[in-house]
Amino acid sequence: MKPVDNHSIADEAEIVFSNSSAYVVELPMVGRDVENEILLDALRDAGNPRAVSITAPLGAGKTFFLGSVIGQYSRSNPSFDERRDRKEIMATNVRTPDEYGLEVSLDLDDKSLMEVLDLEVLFDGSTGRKVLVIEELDRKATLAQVRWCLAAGVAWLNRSPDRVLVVTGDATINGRHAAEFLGGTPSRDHIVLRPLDLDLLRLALHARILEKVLKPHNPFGDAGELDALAQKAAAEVLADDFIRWSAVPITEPPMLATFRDALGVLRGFAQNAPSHQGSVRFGRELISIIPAFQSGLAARASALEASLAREVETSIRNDVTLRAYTADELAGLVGSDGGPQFEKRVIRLLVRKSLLIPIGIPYEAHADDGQEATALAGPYIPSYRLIHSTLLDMLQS
Amino acid sequence: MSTNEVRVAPAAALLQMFEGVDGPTSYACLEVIRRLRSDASTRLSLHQIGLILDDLEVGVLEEDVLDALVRTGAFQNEAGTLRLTPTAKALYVADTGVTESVLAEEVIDLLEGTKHVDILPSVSPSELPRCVARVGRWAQSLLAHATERDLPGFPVFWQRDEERSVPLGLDVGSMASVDTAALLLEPARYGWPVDLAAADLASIARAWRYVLDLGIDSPGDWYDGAIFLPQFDDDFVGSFLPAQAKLGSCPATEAIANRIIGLLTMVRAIPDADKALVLKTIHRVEAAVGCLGRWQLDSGGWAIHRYEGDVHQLAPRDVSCQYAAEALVEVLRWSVIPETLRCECLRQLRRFADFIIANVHTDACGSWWDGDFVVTAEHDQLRTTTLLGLVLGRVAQELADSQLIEIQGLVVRYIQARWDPKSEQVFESTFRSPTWDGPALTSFTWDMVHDGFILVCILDWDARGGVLDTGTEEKLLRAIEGIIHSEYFGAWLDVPMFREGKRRAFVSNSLHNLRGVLSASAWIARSFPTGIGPGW
Repeated sequence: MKPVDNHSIADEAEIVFSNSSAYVVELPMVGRDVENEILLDALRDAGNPRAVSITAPLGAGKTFFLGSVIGQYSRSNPSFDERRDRKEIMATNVRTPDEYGLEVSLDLDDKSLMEVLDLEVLFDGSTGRKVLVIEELDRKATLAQVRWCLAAGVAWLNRSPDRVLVVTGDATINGRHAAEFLGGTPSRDHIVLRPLDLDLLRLALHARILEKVLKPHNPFGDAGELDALAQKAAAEVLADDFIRWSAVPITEPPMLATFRDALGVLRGFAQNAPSHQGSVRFGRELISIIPAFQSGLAARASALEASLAREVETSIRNDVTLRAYTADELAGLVGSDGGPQFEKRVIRLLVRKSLLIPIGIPYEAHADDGQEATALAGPYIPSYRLIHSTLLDMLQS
Repeated sequence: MSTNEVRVAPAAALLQMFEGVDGPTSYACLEVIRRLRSDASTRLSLHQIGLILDDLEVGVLEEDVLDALVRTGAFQNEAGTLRLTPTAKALYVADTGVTESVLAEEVIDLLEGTKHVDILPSVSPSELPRCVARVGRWAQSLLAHATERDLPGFPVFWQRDEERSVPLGLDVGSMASVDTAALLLEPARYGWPVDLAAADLASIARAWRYVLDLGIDSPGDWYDGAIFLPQFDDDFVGSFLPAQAKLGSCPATEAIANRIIGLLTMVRAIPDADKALVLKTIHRVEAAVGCLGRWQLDSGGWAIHRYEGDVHQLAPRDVSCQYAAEALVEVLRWSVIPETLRCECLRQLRRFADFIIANVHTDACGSWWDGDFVVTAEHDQLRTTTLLGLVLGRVAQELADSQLIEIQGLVVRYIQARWDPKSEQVFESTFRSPTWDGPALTSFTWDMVHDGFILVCILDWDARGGVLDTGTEEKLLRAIEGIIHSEYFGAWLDVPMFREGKRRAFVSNSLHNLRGVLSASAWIARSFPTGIGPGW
């Protein structure tokens, strides 16, 4: 039986490393047993209203997780018709009277809530347990969208016992604005989805290589042998440390790595790896092709970009965890005094260019005295784009 | 072909509106204007502009974009909100090199590239048979590819360029395995001659035998007449469980029904086929119809699968119902059908008809069904109504049911009122593939053709003497133009993947669009018999 090599993996790169919703590759859900049970418990708690919040970075698999658990619930509850009894709304699609939503509170009457967001009408014809999912409670939503959605969602939940409210998003859900409303629920669970790490990525690669590369070519092959070859190939994909960093950067907190980005960059490597037979070999020279599949108009002109790149390089060379930086610490890197303007103009520009990722709680800094609410909140961690460009520079130097 | 003036302003010319503005900011400004247009609004907040710039990953601040747009004179800054000023004038340089002025509200139209004023389609009737011929050539190449390499089935997607088609991956699809051959033979269903060379006949014969052998031949078994695919089914992702590989993919109703349609298409297209092959086909079709009968729900509809003993109860699904009904009417069209088979088809169709009559909604706007018979969202209603509308006329005819005929007319009225043809639209259907353990834990989405389906639905009503609403003729012509223009070297591409920059030819959707073209050709022939008509 032939082992997987650069040729066989290049032939199926689109499938093995598919990261797009346009083309679906079946992937077993692993490593989520505890979270699975929490959500299932809420769904099964007939006669009791339950709220569940799910926090994870973009691309971490919230939708996949939710769909899988609801699928499990559907199987064991024939009366639950997912099309009729489960509804979703995107916070970013909700039209609000203004951008801040300060007039919204838990005491707001139903009529006023329904004028902005009527959730009852979504469930026309639905009987039995109803599940409402409110998604995108994150920095893409305005503060008003966050507040109105949570107010309407909690009011909907409290109107009848046989309802489940699921809210998903980023750190917004941990903030005080969310707490103001979710505190009004009788029973609330919180799930933090495990971020992507090397073990999880290896598991995913192993499953895909086995099902999409090895089995089709060896329909009568020994199951144990095929499994061992798939494991070997998955390990070989991530053997080089530059390649590992480009796919799964190690940060603290571990909020950067996603399947979407990891599979995307690995697909590029697979499609461009030089000829090599007998095993998979992704050498670090593949880092040089990253600019060819990066999008956007990113430029590296500012002093802060250069300083951050030096910080990233130090972490990679010493193989230590990349840390998050406060706005003041970033200002300090370039000898600036910092302040609101520094964060608003300089840091925001680096976030816009996908060089920094904000991981603070959006709108948390907003005060009731009319101070501007800001979705952008530090601390900040270096992004995939910055790490990749640093690796490239290191390779070339 | 258009009879009214068309003004075209390439986006590059409009860039000159942004005098003194750097490239990235100009690019960002144009994108913001485009979003204003697509959102049908005239205002954008700074936050919304910021989100657009985030998507673009452009290193530009929203305040700079706002400033640049305000300087054009076409926009205002109202306390941080960008607003289009309808009566203001903006200057632009047309591709003629002449500086012209235009109303600000027309800026967005200009950005789209054309200003439509009663524009009639620009496709000549002779394009339709040429399109059909290109599709046939593409189908020939796929069948030949599969024959040469002895592929175990047919893939759902092909990487397509002008020179060649390469399978996307090693997986096959239960629908694609039938639809690939159907692409070549479909014109025969519309009375067109299909010229087959010896090599084509060999490829078709191979495909025919493959489709026949897909069927389960186990009389008395719940799954007799269903499909056995011993591997992953790329048309129903999630239906194959590695832990139960020996059972193969769990079969779907639509795959069973589609196989019936495909087998009958092959029989009709090759009248002098081997008699033993034809006889075997009759037996297998009979078994498949029997399977559809066992799987028909007590309500009269069909779900994506029916488990023996109803250990998992699935609800009726519009796509499953449409394919099942379509298969039954195709069997009834067959001249040599055994009487028992004919009676069984009519029995199932009668139950189906009663089901859809019981679930139809009717008001002054027409008749429609809820999405999958339970979802009240408008786009789901339009999808289900269109899918059922595809087959309603033929079901009514077979059952001689005047109530169904009346409903068909009301359905077409409903659809006409809601139809705005755009070639990139799709009908989305999200579902859980059946597995041997119950519905899959992951969801899967089919992106089906939109205008192609609606076209066929409306033209079937027209062919039966139905009267179309004012304005529908223009929509039909626009839809035909859109379908022809979106054809890519004999194929139609998967729309979501195309939006990601990938050209993946999608066999099943290509077949649906081909049916649209064939229906359109018949309509043009009967509606414009002398070849003279509005704009043609």
